[in-house]
Amino acid sequence: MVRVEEIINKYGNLSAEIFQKSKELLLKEYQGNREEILENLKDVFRYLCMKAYEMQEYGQKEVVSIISFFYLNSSLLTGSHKYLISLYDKTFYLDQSEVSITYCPEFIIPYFLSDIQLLENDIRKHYIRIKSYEMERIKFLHIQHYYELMKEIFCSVLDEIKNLPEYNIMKKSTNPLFLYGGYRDYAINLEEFYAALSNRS
Amino acid sequence: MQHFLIEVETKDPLPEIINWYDKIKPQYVNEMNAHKIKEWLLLDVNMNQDTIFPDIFCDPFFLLSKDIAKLVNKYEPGIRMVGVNIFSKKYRIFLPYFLPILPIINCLSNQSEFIHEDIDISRGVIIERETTGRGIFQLAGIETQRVVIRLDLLESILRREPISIRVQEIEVV
Repeated sequence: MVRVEEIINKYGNLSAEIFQKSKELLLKEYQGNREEILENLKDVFRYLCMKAYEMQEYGQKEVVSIISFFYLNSSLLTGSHKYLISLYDKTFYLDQSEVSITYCPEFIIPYFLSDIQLLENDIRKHYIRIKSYEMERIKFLHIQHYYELMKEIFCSVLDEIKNLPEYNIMKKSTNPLFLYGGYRDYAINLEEFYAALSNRS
Repeated sequence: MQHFLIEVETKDPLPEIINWYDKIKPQYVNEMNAHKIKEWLLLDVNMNQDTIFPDIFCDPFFLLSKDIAKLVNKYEPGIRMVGVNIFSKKYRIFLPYFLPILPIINCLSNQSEFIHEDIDISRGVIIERETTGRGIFQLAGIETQRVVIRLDLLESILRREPISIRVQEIEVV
């Protein structure tokens, strides 16, 4: 256990450096294919809103008060890199009729896998017999950078999402709360983050 | 909601629990017969210096580390936990684990694919309403012990940086 902490401490900086290089390439790809990537995300969101709307029509779902974009750590273990997008009423996690769908930002996967390969190659030069759970911890360390990046990407599409007819047709509170973070974990108000980001730029 | 098969990552060097049969009879590990198992047990392990102790064991039984057992208990307070101390005299190891007496739920859909009829599954498809909202349970209808965990409980476990856990998503209808 001591060794894995040592590896994490030692490779924190390298993880950030590797990510920075990938981020430049990734953002270039994102800008080039923004419409296509966002269309995919919007399709997912459209489907979700329609599902909520249909349930509301049958009296099965309350007014939507919380809209969340949660990363799933479990999907890191399965290699599927999924985010859970959910529509909750005011009771949040206690909503018995939550409407959820998973979204996979496929464009980040090759960058993440290549980063992990680089990290693993370097770690293996310095440590013998790297165990599977140690590499899992490294993956969890490194994915945090991608979670931050996805926060900005989800932020940048908020306005477009709010303009979707499917979003507007759904019954929702006046100012629904948009959350981003870990499922059953720490999350932030995405709109506050967006406002802070806009002020900074 | 998503469900997963949860098991230990066998690529890691794991301890081997030995001489267990006289202490825990496999046929008692169910809600009906669990009262026949003692409250606390001591089990020997074979290990070496490289061995790591995972947060779950799958062989010979499904065991949970103390932290994970506590968490499972928060989601499923009705699950009885038998205390199991893992013990190695040679390496002076004495670690508490818990044997959860999981509900065994018959929720496999006929879309599932089985290995040798009912030994195991190669593709698991579960019927969500049959799970009666349980966060963790054992699959009925197959001989191999397969434990299914619900997404919310799994994510809570993963927050705690568990050691040597492997999951596989199963289909839900």
